[in-house]
Amino acid sequence: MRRYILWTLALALTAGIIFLVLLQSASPLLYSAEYDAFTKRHANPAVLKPIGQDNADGLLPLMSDLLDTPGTVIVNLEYGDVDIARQDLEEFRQLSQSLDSLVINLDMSESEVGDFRRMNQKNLQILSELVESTARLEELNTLEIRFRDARDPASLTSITYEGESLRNQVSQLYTEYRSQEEPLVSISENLELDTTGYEESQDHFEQIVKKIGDEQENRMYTLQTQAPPDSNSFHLTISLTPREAAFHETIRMRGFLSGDEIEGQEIDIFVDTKKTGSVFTDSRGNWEYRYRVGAIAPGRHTSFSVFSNSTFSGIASFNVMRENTFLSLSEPIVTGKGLSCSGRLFSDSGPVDGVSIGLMIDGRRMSSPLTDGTGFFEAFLKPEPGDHQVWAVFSNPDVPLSESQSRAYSVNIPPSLLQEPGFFDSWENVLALVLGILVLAGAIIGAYAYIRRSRPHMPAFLRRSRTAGEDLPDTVATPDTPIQESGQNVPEPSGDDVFLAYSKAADSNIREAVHILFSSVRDEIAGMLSLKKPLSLTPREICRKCSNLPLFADLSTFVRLYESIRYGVKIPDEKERQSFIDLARAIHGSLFGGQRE
Amino acid sequence: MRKIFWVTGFFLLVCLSVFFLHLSTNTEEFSRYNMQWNGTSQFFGSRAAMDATEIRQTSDLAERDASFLLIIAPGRPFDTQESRDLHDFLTHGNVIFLADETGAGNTLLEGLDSEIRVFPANLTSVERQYGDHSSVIAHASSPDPLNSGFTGLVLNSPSYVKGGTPVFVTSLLTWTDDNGNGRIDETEGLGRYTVLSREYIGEGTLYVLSDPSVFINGMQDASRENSVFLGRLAGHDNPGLLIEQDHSSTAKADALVLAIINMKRSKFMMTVLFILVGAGASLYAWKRYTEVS
Repeated sequence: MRRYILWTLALALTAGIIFLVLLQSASPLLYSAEYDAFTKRHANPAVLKPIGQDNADGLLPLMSDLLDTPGTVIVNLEYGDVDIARQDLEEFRQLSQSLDSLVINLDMSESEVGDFRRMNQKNLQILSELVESTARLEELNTLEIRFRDARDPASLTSITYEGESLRNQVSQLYTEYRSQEEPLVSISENLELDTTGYEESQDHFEQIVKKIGDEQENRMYTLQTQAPPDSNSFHLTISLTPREAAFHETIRMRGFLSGDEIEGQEIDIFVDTKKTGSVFTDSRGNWEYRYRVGAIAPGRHTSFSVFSNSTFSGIASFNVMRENTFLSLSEPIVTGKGLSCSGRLFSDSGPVDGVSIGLMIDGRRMSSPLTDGTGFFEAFLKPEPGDHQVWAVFSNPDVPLSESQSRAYSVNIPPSLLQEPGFFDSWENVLALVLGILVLAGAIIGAYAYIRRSRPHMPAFLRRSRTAGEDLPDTVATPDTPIQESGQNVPEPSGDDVFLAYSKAADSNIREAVHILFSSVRDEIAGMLSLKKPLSLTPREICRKCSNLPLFADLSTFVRLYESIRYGVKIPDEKERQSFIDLARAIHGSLFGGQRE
Repeated sequence: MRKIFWVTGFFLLVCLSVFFLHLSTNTEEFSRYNMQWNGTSQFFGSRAAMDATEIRQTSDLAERDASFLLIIAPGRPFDTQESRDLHDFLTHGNVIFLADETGAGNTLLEGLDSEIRVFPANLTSVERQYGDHSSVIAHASSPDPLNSGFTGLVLNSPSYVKGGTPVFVTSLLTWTDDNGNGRIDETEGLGRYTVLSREYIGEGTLYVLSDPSVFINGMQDASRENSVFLGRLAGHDNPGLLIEQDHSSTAKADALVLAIINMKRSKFMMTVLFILVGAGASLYAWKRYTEVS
């Protein structure tokens, strides 16, 4: 019974250990250098990933190049080399992209380098438009000569109007470029960059504006003085109300067409030389178009109307005002699904509709919801667990609205928000469970097979078959008991099977054979002396227990011989083998000799 | 039987060695007995440092000349007398190299009549060696024997110093990360910071480095010229290297470690220990012999 309890206990312990090992199998790492890689004083370089130095080393030289490149583009434009200016602009664009990547990789969006990048992007946009405008003005100069020679007043009017629009546009670009000078130079000087080239480019830009203005004045003069009188019988007018508008406000463009057939004629409306719409005249030749201010840069713009691509109205100009915006963000709500953010965008004139708002988490744009008619926007974000700064920004250079930013909120995303998969959701867990079960089953089967295999050896040799009622002698041999010699009166060991097993095993494995005989002797002595746990005693300890008995001398010799055969390398000869058996018989006789008589 | 005895004995010996090795080390920051990444055992195990003279009280500095005193990561301020001793040592034509990032050495700098001060800060840079902003790279500035031929020195969470002649400075893309978020924010400006400064006082030279972490084990294998820098500090051919071991955090150890270290230093205690171990081993061997026979 006790034996089964021990086996059950061992089995339970084994299962428990395997279960504990299984728990660690998903993440078997008990220690890693990352665990204590950071202290208040320093970080362990062994766990930090080395990074290339090219990025950081190249940042300042790149910024220096970006300061110089606009000057090159502008000087080429000033001298009329538009193609070379385009090549320089392309190089400028590639350098700017490199800077964008660097600033993002180095996480410097909010630094002076980030400000430099934003102003550089603005410069790139300005120069791109300047190159296109200048190229178009070059074409207009060529066209002007051709139309003048061809005596084509309509086309001459068209290109003159377009020239006027381009002049306004370039003038506006110059204003923007000039406004960037002070902050950009300030940042560059802080970073010890040479700003000479950039500052000189301002003067060259001014020269371009002056040159374009002069050319346009000449064009207007040519149109008024040298163009042949229009043979067309139609006359078209345009007027604007109001002449100043803000984002999403409407300008009423009205006029009338006079001539032969004025009803139902299509009138094309141009803003900055781009056709923005067309309307039809009524029975009296009146027309009206409502222009809604949208994606248009703030500043002065031109408009005119055209009938049948041949009759032009005069040029009417209007001003688009930049409005301030106010961006509010409600306190973000941490929900089970993530982070709920909402707010509103207002301008000086009311809610701003249909623009994109950037929702930022720790400086990174996470979402770009659009505002509705009430300026309301809303988005759900899923940031990583931990502390974050959340705010909203509005910035759109394509519309006449100023940039704005909401207040920032500190939010904490608890780890529990992570969607933790169930145990069986991961195939790795299932695999680990199956393997664990297989290992456990294998261990049980193996243990059972081992026990089955080992059991026949021990009992077959060592168990003493006793008849019912036969008990071990309860008296212990006294020191006075004489040693019994083997002979007729000396009873044979009751377990003859022991000697038989010894004889069988001796031929093949003498070490096992002597162990069989020693085990038999040990059991007899243990039974005689009522020793507890005889299996835990060494041969010498058993011998020491018998030091007061007459068999001590034989037992000492027996034990020494046993150890030399069992643990030594020596193979006993026939004489020694016989001696071993004789000693066993003598010990047996000494133990049971007087008792059975 | 004999073979198993020796094998068992060998493993027991290994276990005991590991056990005592474990007891004789610790995890104190900068400790010379700390063999982990944040200790300085490798530096103190170098030949030059082993040959150096340890200074346990400033009065030991008297009458020394042509010496180079290293004060690494002082853990507490220096009092007036100590500062005076060090001032005399310095003005007699010696060199003091103070590596401090906490400002604990500022009392000494005042006592030395130095213009240099340490400003504790979380110096962070874009130009770094590892994927962590704290691994700032500093570049040589004014010509000095300590920076000649250097392209960069890797630091580890340094502070910065002001005053004196800059010997190593960071790049312009460096800032003090006041809010500790690892990123540069609008309120944190970029700039060039001095991390090693030099000042001549009397006939001596004072160096102040704002990052003692260059001495820790984890930085020994840092790339760039860190090992060259440490070699120049230790002065392989300089017999006058002194290492301060009173205020310096490199001398820190817990009580058990100190007991073992003191025992190792004491010849008498080592003799007693050997006698006890030898007697025990002999007694055991004799007992076994009698049992067998």
